[in-house]
Amino acid sequence: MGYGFKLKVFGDYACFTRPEMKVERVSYDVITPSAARGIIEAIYWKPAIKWVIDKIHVINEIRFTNVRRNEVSQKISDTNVKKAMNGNNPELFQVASEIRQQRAALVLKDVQYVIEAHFEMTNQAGPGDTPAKHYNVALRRMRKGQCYHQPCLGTREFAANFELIENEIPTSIYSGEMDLGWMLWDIDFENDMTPIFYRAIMKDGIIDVNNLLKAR
Amino acid sequence: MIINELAKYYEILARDERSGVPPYGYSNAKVGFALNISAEGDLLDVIPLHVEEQVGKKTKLFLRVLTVPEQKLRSSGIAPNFMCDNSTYVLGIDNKGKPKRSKNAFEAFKKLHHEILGAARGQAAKAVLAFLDKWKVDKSKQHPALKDYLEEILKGSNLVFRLDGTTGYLHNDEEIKKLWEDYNSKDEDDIFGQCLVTGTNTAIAKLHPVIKNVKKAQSSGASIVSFNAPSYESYGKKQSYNSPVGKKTAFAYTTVLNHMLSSQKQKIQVGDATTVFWAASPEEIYTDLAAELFNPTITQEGKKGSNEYKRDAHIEQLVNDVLTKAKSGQRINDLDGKIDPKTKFHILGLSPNASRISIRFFHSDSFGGFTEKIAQHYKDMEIVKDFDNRPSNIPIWMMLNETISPKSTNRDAPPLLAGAVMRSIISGAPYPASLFNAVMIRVRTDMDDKDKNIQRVNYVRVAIIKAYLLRNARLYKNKKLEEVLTVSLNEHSDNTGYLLGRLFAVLEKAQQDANPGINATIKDRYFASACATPGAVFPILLKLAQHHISKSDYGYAIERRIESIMVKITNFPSHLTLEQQGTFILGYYHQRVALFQKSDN
Repeated sequence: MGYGFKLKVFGDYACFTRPEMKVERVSYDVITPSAARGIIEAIYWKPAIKWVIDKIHVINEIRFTNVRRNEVSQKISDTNVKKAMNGNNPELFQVASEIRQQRAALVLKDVQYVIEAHFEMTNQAGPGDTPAKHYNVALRRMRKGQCYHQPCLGTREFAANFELIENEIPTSIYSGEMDLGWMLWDIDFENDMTPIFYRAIMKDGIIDVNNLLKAR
Repeated sequence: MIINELAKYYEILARDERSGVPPYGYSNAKVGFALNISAEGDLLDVIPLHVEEQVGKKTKLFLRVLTVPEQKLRSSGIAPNFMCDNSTYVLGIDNKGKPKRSKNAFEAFKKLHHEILGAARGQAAKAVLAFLDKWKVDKSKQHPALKDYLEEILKGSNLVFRLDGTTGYLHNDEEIKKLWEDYNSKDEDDIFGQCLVTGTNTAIAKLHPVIKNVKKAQSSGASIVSFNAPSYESYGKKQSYNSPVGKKTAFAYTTVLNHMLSSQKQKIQVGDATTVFWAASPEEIYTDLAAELFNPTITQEGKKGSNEYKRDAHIEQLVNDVLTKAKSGQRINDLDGKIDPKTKFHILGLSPNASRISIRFFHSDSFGGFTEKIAQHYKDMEIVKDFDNRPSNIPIWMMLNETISPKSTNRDAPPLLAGAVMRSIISGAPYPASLFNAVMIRVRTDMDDKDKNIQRVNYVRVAIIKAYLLRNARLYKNKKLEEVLTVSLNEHSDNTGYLLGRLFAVLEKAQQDANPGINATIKDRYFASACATPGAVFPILLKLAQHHISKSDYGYAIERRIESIMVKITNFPSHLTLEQQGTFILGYYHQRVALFQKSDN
């Protein structure tokens, strides 16, 4: 655990889509651990390391609003991609105006979280991959606000701002215990992409993801 | 969150016998007729199952609602239901003009029953199988027992079975029920996984039952959870395996939602959102109270003046008590022993989007907290009445009505606005600025029209303006503004907008006194501009008023009133902001109501 980070992420809107309501989107109440992992991975990730989310602090009040957005109904199918790889010439594009769909979404407003995370070394780590090296690279990138791509709060439209916290974590608006129900923890990519859910319980605004996952 | 709470509510209702919620594996269906068969499988006669119900002044015949083995989601293919289905499946005949398909449907129905009831020993199950084996589809239209009701049967209402000489329907037979439950619970194709609602490892539902009775959604039913286009699917998963929900949970939440949507008591319409609400309790008192709180009954007197507000005369005394108490700042928990204010209470707004249903809003609170929020809303909206027949507590639909042009043929409030208004009412947050803007636009553009019952500055509009400004003033701790946002006239205020509004009302009165029965007043010509740019308009109006004063009999009284307001006005601003315009309208309304009350005495 020695290589932990505390990262503040915040933004005007966020949509951590619930899988059961992902068509007419409804957001979870708070950020999911996998979304938090996505944010950190946007800042720094190498095959040699694996990020683990320890705690999530919910700083701002959970508030919702409605928006309608233009989305599309189709994806470029993987069979077409495979055909293209085999030298055929299938359509590898989508015309958004033809497959346009307007979908309603219930999204979060004015969110602010503090993510506590650490990384572990994977078996892809070579002899040069020391934890200290990755720690310092990640630290530098977070301090300077560097990222591979703009991290987002759930969906791409809702860009996330981030800031490394080196001193005190801001206090949450919440106190006492609040049961947020079962939430997506992450996808088990090695195991047929099985979704894994965990019971999110927030104590004084803090979700202790790691402990809750053990209790599952 | 949503599915979880719905599933919990199902558990509560399923434990309570009075609720009429079907158990797992069953559903409520409208049934038209019962086929009375003998133990040997002969069709003896047909018993119509219509029930009479009072609708307004007329009695109408309705199909009876029975709890039958769960009816499957059917699209174009042939898929028989167990023990209860329409004539196509049960008798192999219908009026769709496809005899071959009907016959296939009957064969499928027969096959399903053989499969489920094949091992049965009881008389009931054997009679059903005997009937199906004996039945001749080709000659069925000539069957003597069907003669009387043939037309209606062919229309496609559901049919159930009865065994001659016994009571009850055959689908309620113990053995048949047991065989059905066994059959229903085992399914070789089941995929197991972690349910996202309960967290347990269970069989995952591939398709969820549909939700009916959401206004403007497909009448055959729409889905909250559905994946019918490639872009909805993730990680190569198909259908509802994208969102693993256990079969029982899927059944529970849809059943209870349909239960609420089919009752009139537990739902209201807010803009385009069909809204249901429930408390985590089997007692009906919570929902009765909540329904009344959302949609306060408008008293009978309301009918006298105009037919604008027609509502039932039934007055919930309790709600009035709750509101009176809450408005005066008392807590609700000392009211009525039957209600526990800590009971959880949920409000869910569903809005249609083609074959899917989207969630417009969802709000959970304790029942006490919810009542306080609603009471606060009515308190903020409270304003002196211009006519006695105005409702004390303005229902939400009435508020939303004021945001659209009274001349418009499309009477639907903007859906996003309706949802936002509802959200601020139930969460106690400031009202959406779009509500205020919409009402201000109406005040600016609508012209008074007595025949069409259009009033530029009316009770509801002013109430909305006041409530909006009041909540904002409270939020930003603007004491100066708060003092004019009163229920009735505040003569001590020196808020410029408010004073100008009052002055305008008095000037209008001066004109009306001078020209009794006048059709168009300064309000019609100058209201909008006086409101927005007083500096340009008031000098003209004051000059005009001099003529009116000299002409009217009691001009000196009006003159004194003008003076009393004028001493507080230091200057006429060249323009007013939208919020100041709100106080202007409020001042105008207050003063006008006060003027007419005085003249009554």
